[in-house]
Amino acid sequence: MRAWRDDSLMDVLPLLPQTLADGFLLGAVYAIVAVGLTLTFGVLRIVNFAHGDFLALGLYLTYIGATWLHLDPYLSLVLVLPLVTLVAAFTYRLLIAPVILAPEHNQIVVTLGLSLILQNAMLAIFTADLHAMPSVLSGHIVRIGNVFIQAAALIASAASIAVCLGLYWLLRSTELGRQIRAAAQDRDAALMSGVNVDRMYLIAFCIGVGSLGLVAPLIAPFNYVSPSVGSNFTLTAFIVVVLGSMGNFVGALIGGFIIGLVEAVGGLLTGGSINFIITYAIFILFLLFRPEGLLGGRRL
Amino acid sequence: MKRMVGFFLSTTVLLAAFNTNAADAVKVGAVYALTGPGAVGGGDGMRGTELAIEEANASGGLKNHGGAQIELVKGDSQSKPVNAVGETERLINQDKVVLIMGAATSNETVPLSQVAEKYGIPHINTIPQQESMTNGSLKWTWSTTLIDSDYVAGIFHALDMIHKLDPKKTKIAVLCPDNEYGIEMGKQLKAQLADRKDLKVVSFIDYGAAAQDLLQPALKVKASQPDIVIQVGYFRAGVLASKAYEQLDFHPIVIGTGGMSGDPKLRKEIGKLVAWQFAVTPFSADLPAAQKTGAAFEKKFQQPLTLNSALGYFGTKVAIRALDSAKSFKPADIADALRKVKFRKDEMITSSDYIEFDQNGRNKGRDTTITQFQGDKLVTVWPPEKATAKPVLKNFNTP
Repeated sequence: MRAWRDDSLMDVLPLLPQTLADGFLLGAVYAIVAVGLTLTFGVLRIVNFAHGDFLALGLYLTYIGATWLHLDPYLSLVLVLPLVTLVAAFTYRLLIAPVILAPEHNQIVVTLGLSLILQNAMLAIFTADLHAMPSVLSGHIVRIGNVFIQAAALIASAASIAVCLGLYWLLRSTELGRQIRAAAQDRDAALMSGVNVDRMYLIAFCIGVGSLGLVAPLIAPFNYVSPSVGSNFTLTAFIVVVLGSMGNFVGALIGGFIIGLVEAVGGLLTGGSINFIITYAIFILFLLFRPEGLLGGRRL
Repeated sequence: MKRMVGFFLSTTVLLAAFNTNAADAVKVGAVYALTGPGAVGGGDGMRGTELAIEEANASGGLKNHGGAQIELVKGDSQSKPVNAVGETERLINQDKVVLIMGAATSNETVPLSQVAEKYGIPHINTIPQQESMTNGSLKWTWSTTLIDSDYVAGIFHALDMIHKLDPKKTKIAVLCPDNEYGIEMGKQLKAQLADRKDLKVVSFIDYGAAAQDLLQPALKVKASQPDIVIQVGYFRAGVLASKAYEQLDFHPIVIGTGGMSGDPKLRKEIGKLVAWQFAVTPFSADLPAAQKTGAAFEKKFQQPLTLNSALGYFGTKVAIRALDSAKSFKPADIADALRKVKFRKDEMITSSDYIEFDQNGRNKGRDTTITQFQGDKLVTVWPPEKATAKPVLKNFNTP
């Protein structure tokens, strides 16, 4: 179905600043989700198909905090972040570590299986109902000219960028970061140099997945939670990661913004679901002509 | 030894009693989306079906069949048409259900009805309003709900109602999903709006049915500066559209379809944002006959009776009555009973006036009501004879 009146460029031009703002904010959230994914891939060389489901887990923990403990999503951060990190640590020990040296297809089956288990467990516990979570910032809109931005989205985006940069600094400028990078670059050489590789893998997995425990309460006020919400983020995060080069932090950040902007501008210029086609077309084009991504070759 | 003999005796008696009940039970199938993106509506439909069957069994089962109990066999379409087909095949061939109900969306229900047609098993369409299922092409489908044109007629009743309250509200924007439901509704709305010289359509925007936010479609709607937004869609789209209007500081009069603007759960999820929205719906919870069902539903599931729950419940009640009055549980006898089944006005928990099927399996007594969230309450404001409150004309997200 097409729009009743044709959306000429002149018609949509005045709407572009709002769309760019929406795309930028969305992109920042995609970036932090993708950064976690790219970290686990870059260090552990494991493609975590359950990545988005940990975000859904974080959102449900935020929801529990809001409904049972009457905590504002921002306050529940102090519970959700450690809990998601703890779940990540257990997941690493129980499921990821045993297959870390196994063939890739074994690892894929494990993370895919974990994704299905998490989704169905959330479905069994919380049902398929969709829930929104209000916060003190709900309804607070920041207006800049004709651009309207949710204060909560602004905070989430700022925090996402800060966390991305913080993680980049951690990896580049600290002893822990150097050891993680050593484990990522050459497992055997790192072992021979006295790096506790298993410990570095655990820390990287906990940071990569645990960052979702930070994201979840921040996006909760302007998002919703349902058992399948995570899989949408997983899919987008994969596109972002491929676009920005797998295992590359800066690439994930840039890729996140690109996909956020493409989705938003695509939504403005086209109708219905066509904007998703644009996103996937970019993904396929990159896989065909530049599989190494935007910043090809430069890893952690 | 005596205790052992007693144990075996009591076990045997219990098993015999269990087997007797099992032999008497009649199996009915229900296929809804219990997982996937359509699981909110599908789960609601299934819960309604569960309650109706539980109530029937508790009140003595099918009385004309020696009190036979009804056994519900569930199928999960996973929100996919292909799985709706697979699950219907399973229920018919493996579980030997005598009748099938479902699903919650047209995309799943149309292929489901084809399977029922193939095997000659009666199918009750409880929720979707797809007209093609009851236009004479299917012999084994009976629809206890509305069709698209009923919703469109209801939307025009709402427009006329608003026009009476404020004749200056003439600029209309339409927001429709790009799925089968939205396309059909959009087509009918376009055609009828074109005939209305007193109304001016300023935009007609479609949105992705699976979109994660509706900011861009809402932005385009806002840019067209309508007085009234007609929004077609389901619960999730209702949440997303309201959030988008709030962010964009957009305050139109909103008329939505039942799932998008009239679901009782909306109040809990988006609070005051749902206030003053009008919904054209096949179910109003404040109708006298619906209140008892609403209380029973809330007691069993700790949640309000939603639109889909009510439609699932009511469709199942119709199925149960037909099963009870059928000569046997053979498909032809059940079909015969469905052709004759009737529900009087005072028995209706939905907005329709009565149930009586025409030769195509379409209910002749179809009707909609218009509801509005006023404060904490979702009240019926139209038609006047069913209204429990007067309509209040206030813009979206205004005090």
